[in-house]
Amino acid sequence: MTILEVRNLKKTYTTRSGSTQVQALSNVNFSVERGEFVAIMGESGSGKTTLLNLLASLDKPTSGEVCLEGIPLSSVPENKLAVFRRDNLGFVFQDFNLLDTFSIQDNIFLPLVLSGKQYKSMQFMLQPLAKSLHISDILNKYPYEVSGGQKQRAAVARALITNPKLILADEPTGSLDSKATGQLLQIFSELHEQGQTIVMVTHSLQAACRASRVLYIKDGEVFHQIYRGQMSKEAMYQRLSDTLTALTTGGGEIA
Amino acid sequence: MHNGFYRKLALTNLIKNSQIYLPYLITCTCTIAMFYIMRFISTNDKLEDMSGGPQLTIILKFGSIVIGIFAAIFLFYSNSFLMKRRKKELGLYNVLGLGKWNLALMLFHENCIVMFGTIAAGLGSGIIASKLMLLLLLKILKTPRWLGFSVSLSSVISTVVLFALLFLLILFYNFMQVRVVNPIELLHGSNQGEKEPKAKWLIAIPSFLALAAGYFIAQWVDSPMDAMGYFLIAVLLVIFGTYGLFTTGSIVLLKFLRSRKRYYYRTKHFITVSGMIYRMKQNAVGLGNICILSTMVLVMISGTVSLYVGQEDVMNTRYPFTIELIARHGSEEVRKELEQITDEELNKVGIDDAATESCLYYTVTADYSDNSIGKAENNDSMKDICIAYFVTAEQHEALTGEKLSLTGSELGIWLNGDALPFDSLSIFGTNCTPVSVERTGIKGLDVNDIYDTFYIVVPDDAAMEQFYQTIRTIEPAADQFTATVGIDSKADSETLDSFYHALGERTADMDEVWVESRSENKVDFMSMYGGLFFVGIFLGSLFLMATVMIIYYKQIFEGHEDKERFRIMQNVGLSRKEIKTTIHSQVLLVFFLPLFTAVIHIAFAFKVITKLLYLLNLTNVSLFLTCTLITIGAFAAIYILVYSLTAKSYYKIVQ
Repeated sequence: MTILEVRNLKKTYTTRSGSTQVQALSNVNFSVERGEFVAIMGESGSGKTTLLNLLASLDKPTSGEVCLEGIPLSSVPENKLAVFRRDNLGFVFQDFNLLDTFSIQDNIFLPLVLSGKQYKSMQFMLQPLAKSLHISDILNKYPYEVSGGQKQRAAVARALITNPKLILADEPTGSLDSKATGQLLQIFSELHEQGQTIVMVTHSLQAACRASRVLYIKDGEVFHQIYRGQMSKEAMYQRLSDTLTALTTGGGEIA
Repeated sequence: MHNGFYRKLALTNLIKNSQIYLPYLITCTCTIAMFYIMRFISTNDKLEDMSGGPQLTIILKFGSIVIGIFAAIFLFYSNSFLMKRRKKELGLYNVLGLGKWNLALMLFHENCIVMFGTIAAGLGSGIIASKLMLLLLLKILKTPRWLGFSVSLSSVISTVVLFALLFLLILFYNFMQVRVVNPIELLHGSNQGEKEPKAKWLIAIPSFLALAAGYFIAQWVDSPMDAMGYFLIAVLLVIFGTYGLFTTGSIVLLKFLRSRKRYYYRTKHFITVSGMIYRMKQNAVGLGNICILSTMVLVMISGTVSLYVGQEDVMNTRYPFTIELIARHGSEEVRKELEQITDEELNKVGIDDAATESCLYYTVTADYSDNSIGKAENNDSMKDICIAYFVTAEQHEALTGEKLSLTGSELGIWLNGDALPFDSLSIFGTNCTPVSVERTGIKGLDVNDIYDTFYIVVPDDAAMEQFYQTIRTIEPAADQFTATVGIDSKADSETLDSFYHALGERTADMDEVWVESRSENKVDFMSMYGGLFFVGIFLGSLFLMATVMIIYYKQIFEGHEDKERFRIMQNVGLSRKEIKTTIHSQVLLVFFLPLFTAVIHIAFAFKVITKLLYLLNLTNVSLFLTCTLITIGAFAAIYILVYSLTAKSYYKIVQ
């Protein structure tokens, strides 16, 4: 079943003076099935983050449509968008986006509190999640007191606690060291195995090779895609690496 | 790298940071100008030679000292604001290759530009405005103004010396800031996660107690003398309490709210409570400053304005008659003689509308406790001191037209113009029974306001003499009889003046007799209250400026902090509108808390301030109340205006 569908997505930015137009996305089409783990790769400036913002309804496309479970995002009224986001999407960002004013636990609770949940049921939801993400013992600490890896796991917990239909991750490993990166990717893999749908923007091969499908974006279009199928992590890594080399050096047909 | 480079760099820095530097420069300039003006006026020879000049000059000199001290504190404070904000920038320079020495040179040049610029601008505008201010003062004093424009060199020198020294100290402080930190720390300077404060019960509880004690003292004092003694203590307690409660009390309260899970995990409370903990931690001292400054502005302006406006009242309280003759060694004969002199002189000068009132009374200063008055013990506390006036029934009738029939040990006794609250009163050992008859106070006697005042009517001369002798034996230092003749007239001032001088000549060789004229004393009062009024307005506007500036800086700080928070909340699933309302309500709470607290302080201080004003002869409480309310209203209006103007720059940063 298709959970996310992107049709003819186009995004053009106009400079403040209005004179020049920059095309971030020219024509993007793809769809994501339930339970898929999709990585979107591309060079800096290829429009990855723009795409993610459009998927997240944080920004509006110039033309085209994004549908979540068949509902076009453009049909959701402006004042309902925040609630829509909160109920259906979970976010993981490169710079964690935790609020310094809250403890880790309260950061995770934030979306639940916004939805008006009771404290008891929030606790009930948090405990197993905190355990599986290994953050049980830092719940009462503040973001500035814990490491980057811990912060990112807390951010994942915040994204997961609402049981979102789709997790959107923007360079989740971008600010982490290799050990923390490994741990986080392991978590993503486990989530994927449990059937969580994930869309991740990254330019790290290490991150992308965990995905079940990798999309390449170049010049604002989906240029290529690779299915992992039965490939091992290592084989996938090799395949992605080769593809990337071919793409960036501008070589001929890709196998 | 030569000096030109640093100068250029320094100038560019100042211009690039104009959003935070411009208000600083303006404040420096204004402070310098105000200091010069106050120095200039307080050292003005012509003003000092004026009648009432010396005391006026003392008030003004005091004003200039306050400005000097305040300038030092305030400039330091705003500079530390600036440095905090610029840490990242300095760190970047450091990383880019400017060593600490180079940074110091750059700061030195910046500081020089600021110093020369503001001192020049401040002196320039101060010199121009000084004449204007002098004219304003003369207008307040209702004195004819004189022409001419002058620059006081000594004031220029003292201004330059003071502020050059201040800027030097500030420069030194900035050097220390650069010296102690490394570039990485500097780079992360402004977005370091700060430790959440611990709930400091140890400070919160004493602060609360101090505030309560301060409030209690302010409510408890009854006599003006006590008010004078305890006012400073109460003020210090309240200041301590305010800072303590702002810094720790607020956090203790918020943490308590947070610990109540059912309350805290509500959509509305969740973000507000946690946000407020963070904000209070960062802003508590600044908010405490705003609160104390606001309170000072309010007290100073309302007090001095009501003294100035209430001058007529004050004069009428202190000098109940247009002209009064007073003989300290009075007797019936002296009283008659004074009456006769008065009549003769009134005729001579040709005043025909005069209403005269003569009186012979006997006063004693005594200790007052429970329902007895007796010998004043020589102690320091002035709390239980009272003044008793004795007059005969005949005198009383002549003064009020009211006949009292007194029998046996009955006396007519009133306390502060009201009926006595006891059934009996022991007067230096003699038990007396008061007859209570409704009456109002008598001009010039019996309502003193500073001390408790008994007004005692005895049946006849014999009784009077008996009391007099009794008291003299117990209290040999007691006063003798006083004879007074008070004259009220609406004649023109020249006629009254010559009458006043004629009386003076006629009584010159009499034993301890003097003449008091209300209008003669008016000039002295005017120069004192006018001077206080001027200084009050002057310092009031200085403090107001400081308040405005702190609010502005706080807004900018909050803006930069909230910018990031705004973005994150939006990503997590709050709509723009929700974010705007929650943040707006927090900012409102933060900025209006000090004003709110200041008003509470004023409410509690009101009583003690009215007592202090009694000492300055202002007894018109409703006038003071009106002035206070108007001042609070005007101040709140300015506060709100400033808030909404600075809120604009806040939203500009956030969006």
